[in-house]
Amino acid sequence: MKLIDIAVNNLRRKKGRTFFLVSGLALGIGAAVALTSVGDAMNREVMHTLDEFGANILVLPATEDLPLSYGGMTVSAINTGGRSLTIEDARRIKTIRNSENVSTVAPKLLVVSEVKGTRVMVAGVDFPAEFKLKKWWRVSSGMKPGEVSEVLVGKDAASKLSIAPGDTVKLNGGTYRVSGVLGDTGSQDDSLIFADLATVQKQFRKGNAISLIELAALCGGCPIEDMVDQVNGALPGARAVAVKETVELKMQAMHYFHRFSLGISLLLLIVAGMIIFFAMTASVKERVQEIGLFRAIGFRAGHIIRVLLIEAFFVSFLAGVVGYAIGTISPRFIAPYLMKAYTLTFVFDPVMAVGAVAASVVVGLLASVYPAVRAGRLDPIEALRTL
Amino acid sequence: MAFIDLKDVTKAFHAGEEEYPAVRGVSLGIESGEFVAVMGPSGSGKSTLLSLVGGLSHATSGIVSVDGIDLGSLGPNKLSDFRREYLGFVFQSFYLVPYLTALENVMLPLTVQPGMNGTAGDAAQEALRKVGLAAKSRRLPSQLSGGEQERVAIARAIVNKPPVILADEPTGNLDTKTGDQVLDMLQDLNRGGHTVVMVTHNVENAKRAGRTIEIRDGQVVSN
Repeated sequence: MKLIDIAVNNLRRKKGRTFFLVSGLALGIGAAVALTSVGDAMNREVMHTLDEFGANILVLPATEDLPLSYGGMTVSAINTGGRSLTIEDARRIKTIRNSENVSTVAPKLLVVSEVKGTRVMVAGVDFPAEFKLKKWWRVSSGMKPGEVSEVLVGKDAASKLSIAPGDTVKLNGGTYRVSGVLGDTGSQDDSLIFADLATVQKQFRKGNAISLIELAALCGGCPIEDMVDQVNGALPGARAVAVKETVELKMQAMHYFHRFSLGISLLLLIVAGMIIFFAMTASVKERVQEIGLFRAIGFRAGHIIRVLLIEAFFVSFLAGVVGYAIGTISPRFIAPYLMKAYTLTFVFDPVMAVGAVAASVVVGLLASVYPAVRAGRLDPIEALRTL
Repeated sequence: MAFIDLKDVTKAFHAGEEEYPAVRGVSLGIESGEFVAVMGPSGSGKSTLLSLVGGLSHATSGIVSVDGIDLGSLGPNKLSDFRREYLGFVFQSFYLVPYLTALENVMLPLTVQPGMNGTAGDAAQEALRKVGLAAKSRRLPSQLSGGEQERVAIARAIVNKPPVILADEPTGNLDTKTGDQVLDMLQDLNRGGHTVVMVTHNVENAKRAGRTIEIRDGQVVSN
């Protein structure tokens, strides 16, 4: 028989106490694992939503011209005579290595036209891609364009030009029907007229030229800078830039979730540690005569400490395994109440499993050190009392 | 110098500022192979005397030595080693570990004894055989009678073949017949070469010993 056998026999033959100790720590570990799993899944969902919400990469013509501004985005207009992008460039974006991360490609041709004696910017767009990219767009009156001869008018443009759904407007000699008016977006879109991209190219004799491409990249699992490099590699005549505000917003959101789940997990581990601490302290008090006997028959303080720490190791190791199982299974029942749009998938994560068991063992051992050392220092005569 | 030697030993306990001497200026010697009974009424200091000889507490003043070893000079670890090598304890309350079988209880002192890994089981089984409990070695203490538990405690006390056995009221929790059996065993062990020091307040039990030391109010009144 070795010291480990004393520890194991105590745990094996005091099933109720062992169950309580393992349960206490396992629940703490399980809650921390569940929180981390749900937090990560929520993170992914938020990232997915944010990735789809507006462009995070802009592709512009590579030009030395001074930039023109478009809603805070930098645009080198093809009107300045620089090399323009083409619709083929937009198609080539789908060939980059991380093409599966490209959620939306929204090419645009920006031209200036005159309507009712007022100069107005006309944007030739791919309407399905544009509506997917700008989820905040709402048609306040009328409806989305259904024909290539229909246009969508920004709120301010409609107001200044006194046009409403059903009216017609002349753009560079062509007649177009206003299908709808956009609700207030608070952006430069309010001052624009949106028409079908191919129609604008033809009407304004721009061939297959486009002014810029907006990309929504799903970058939850890839650095956006990599994708920018890939786009620049695929389009030698273009200049791709990350929209820093969008990226930083996503990173900030991700950090908030990460910190939140980390903070709560730490709190849970501390609570679990305190459960172990109090349980071990109570156990030492309960076993004071036994410890006194051990000392009387020749156990050193170190032997007592080792027996108690071996017990704590087994309890916390088992609690780590059980806790990981609880933490992995329970989110399947919790997640549906937290997230509806995104399907959570939980798989065995060896890093998380090892981390959970390691955290449990560290917490269990740390919480047991003080009671164990106190037990080792017990005066045997005080412990036995009968002598 | 006697094998167990006490020179002008005093042990005092403190409660606040008050000092209560449990043993006062005791000097006595016990030779190797003796069977000595320490008698006295409750609170006379006999158990404190035993704890001093057993290295479970340090004397406030004076010298306690066993086999020439000054117990006062030993640090905690050395004192533990001393108890393991020199002493076997038999307590009135048995103090068996409830979650260990009889065999495992007997093996306890050997678990921390260097070089006993391979032979501890055999030694414990042999000790149980000596006390007549070899057949019940797999039972937990709760599955044994009081007398059987005391016999397991005796087997535990002798498993590491210590030169000294310290017994504190070993028959206190036993009926007369079982108590007699336990005393028989202690006598047998003494005949086998063990020095036995037994604390008791029972005159009949004390008669089993070769010598009786009577202690009263912390002082030896007859030796």
